[in-house]
Amino acid sequence: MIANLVALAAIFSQFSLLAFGGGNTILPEMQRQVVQVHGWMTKADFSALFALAQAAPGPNMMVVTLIGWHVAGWPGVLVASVAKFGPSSVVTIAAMHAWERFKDRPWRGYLQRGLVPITAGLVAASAVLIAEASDGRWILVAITVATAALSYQTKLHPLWLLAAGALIGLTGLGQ
Amino acid sequence: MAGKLLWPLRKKPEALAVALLMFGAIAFLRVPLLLAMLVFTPVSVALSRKMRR
Repeated sequence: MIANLVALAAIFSQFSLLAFGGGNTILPEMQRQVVQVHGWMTKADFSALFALAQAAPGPNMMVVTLIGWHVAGWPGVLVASVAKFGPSSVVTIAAMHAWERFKDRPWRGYLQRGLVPITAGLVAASAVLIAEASDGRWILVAITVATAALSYQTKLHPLWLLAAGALIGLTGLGQ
Repeated sequence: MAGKLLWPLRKKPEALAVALLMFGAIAFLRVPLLLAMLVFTPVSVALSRKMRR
């Protein structure tokens, strides 16, 4: 139990400082650590927890809290959440002050533009890994493709897409 | 979301190349995030500086 809590703290505090471009950029590494390195759950379980976290109200990275709960119950919830949200909150406050202070420096623009492709690559990798873990059947692949197309082409609220996926799931088509 | 981030990069081949390399390293080679960021972030920032000049 203690070893798991220490591992949760180490992993999520590292993620907290690496999440450039938003929480979705760390999903591949989170999946790698949770599934491959520590074997706490399967890829499919990870994807299910991610979907549950996306559907629930609250922060984008609620999956962190759910992983903590899955691994070590309530102590896991506390440790994973504090480790993930604590350091990044402190760094964000410090970075915002520095960002404003150095707003006229050319290197700020280089850094900002240089981080865009990194973020794009990471978000694309997240999408592929989550889809790969979830799409065992043709209907699930179809739902993924339709959701990606609709969210790219329209301004439909993600909750409608989640609700549609849940309704299809209730019919038993994805089993 | 990935499509929306990648689409503006189509006119910047060097940025698109970095994004695709990062994508491949993480999604297919399963390179640890810290290592990938330590390698690709300085390259991407240096390219962004070079292309601006």
